[in-house]
Amino acid sequence: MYTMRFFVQPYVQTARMNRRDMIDRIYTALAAITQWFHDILARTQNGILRYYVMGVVIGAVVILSVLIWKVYV
Amino acid sequence: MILLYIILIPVIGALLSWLVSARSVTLCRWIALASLLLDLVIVTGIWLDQGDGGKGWLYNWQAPWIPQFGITLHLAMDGLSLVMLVLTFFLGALSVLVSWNEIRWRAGFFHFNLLFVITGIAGVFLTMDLFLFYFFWEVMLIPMYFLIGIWGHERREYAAYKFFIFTQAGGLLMLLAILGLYFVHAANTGVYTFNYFDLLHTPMARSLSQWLMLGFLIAFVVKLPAVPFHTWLPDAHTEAPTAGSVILAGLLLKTGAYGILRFVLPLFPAAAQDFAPWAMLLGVAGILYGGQLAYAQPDFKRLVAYTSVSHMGFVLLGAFAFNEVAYQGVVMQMITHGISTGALFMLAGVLYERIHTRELSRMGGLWPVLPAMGTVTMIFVMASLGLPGLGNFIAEFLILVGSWQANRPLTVLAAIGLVIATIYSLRIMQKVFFGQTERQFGLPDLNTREWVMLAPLVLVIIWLGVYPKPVLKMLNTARGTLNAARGTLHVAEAPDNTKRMQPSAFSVEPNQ
Repeated sequence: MYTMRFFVQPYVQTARMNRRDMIDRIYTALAAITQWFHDILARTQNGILRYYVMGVVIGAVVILSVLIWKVYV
Repeated sequence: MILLYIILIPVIGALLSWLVSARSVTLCRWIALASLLLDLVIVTGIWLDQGDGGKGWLYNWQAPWIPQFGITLHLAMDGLSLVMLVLTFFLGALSVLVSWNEIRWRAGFFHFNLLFVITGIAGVFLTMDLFLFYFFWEVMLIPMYFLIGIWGHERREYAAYKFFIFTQAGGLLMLLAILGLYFVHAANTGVYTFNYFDLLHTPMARSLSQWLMLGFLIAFVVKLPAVPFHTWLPDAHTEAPTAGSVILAGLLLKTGAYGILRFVLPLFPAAAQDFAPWAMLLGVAGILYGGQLAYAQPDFKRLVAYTSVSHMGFVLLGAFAFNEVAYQGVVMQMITHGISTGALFMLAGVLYERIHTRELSRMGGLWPVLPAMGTVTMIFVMASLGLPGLGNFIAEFLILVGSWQANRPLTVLAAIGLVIATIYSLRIMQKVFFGQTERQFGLPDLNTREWVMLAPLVLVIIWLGVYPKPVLKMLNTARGTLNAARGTLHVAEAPDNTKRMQPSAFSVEPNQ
């Protein structure tokens, strides 16, 4: 009876709970994050030219400010 | 030279069977079978010829390939390679048989891929040049991806991608480690070479060798697989066609174990010693975790797949125990696991052809209908749980005896794995063959072809369990090549002859 309670039941219950392998969750989560980034970044590719120009301008401003900050400050 | 033939025969068979399949699919199957049987005869012949076994290297062959970078076509065979090659061609031939009726769609390309995987595996077991080793490592990968992705079950594409990404990422780390070793060797000795025997003596700093060892080890541990890198395996095994599952479980996983024995331990002995407790811990975690997950699975093939995780845990445990007994147990485990798990996958395939499901809950009460299949399954289920008299018992017993000397607490935990193995193994029998059923119709029992492919497996697993001495003897000859007799192999650049390595003299005899 005690074997039932302390060995068999916990074993069977944890086995049932973990049927889908929790370690696999780590990898599926990684894949989901990648997919999420894909969705976000794919949305920026919208064919509207002013978005692209704005992107280039913002990038240039950031790089220049970093350079200026590094050199002169 | 004979080593090159061993690798070339399946390549030629692959191309021929693809070409022939346009005319006759049956002929294409026969060509695939014949090329693998020919290889099986060759390697068995070498084994029988060896008798008691000379010490050290049996055959060695070398030819320049890309001399500018120190890359050679260097093949060599010792006892360990020989044993693994016999297993490779044995299971390879059976996997052609098992797909005889299952694969009807694009059978030519299927057999092309099948034979190419086997070529890659044979190459991995034979090559002594690290660049060539990486080459063959990748050769195994892509045909296997096709096997899963084209002929698999419902979720085949997901499984194929997952398999590919996992093993490719591991392989990439190994490539980095190989290149690291190459440049470290060049920096310290001035010689640029990928030759295994030269790299064995690379002098390097302790911390560096630890990093390089980890690069190799991760590739092999992913392939093995050990927790927590195992999750590609249940998907790949479950979705692959039967022949693919047999090759995956029986052979592909063994390349990981072989890599640990051949490369990780001899190349980085000190670093491996340092890492040993962690590797053994991973092994034990695999045994227990894989066993419990196997018990929980509702799908026959998935259950068997998780038992592989559990059994391969023993390999990792034994490999890092650093003693003779555990080493013999590890190789025995590689062979017996290949046979017993391969057989269980075949039985799952045979059953799937009849009832078209892998769900355990939809089986049950099959023993009265399929008594012969039930008996064969019973034998392999018993093998899988480690019943004395069958091969797996010898393997697990040797591993546990060996690892007891290295690490007692972990060995105690690993021994609990045997109880867990009993639980999941008996569940297979209960769910599939025992119990009640409302099934009204009859099913055909094993036919001749299925007997032809299952009977040899039964015989071999019993033979290994009752009389494992020939295998262990053959391995003893390999022990020298892995450990003591390092660097005894100095070969002249003789592209076209096979050298028979004997401890006393380097007698050149072209005996093919």
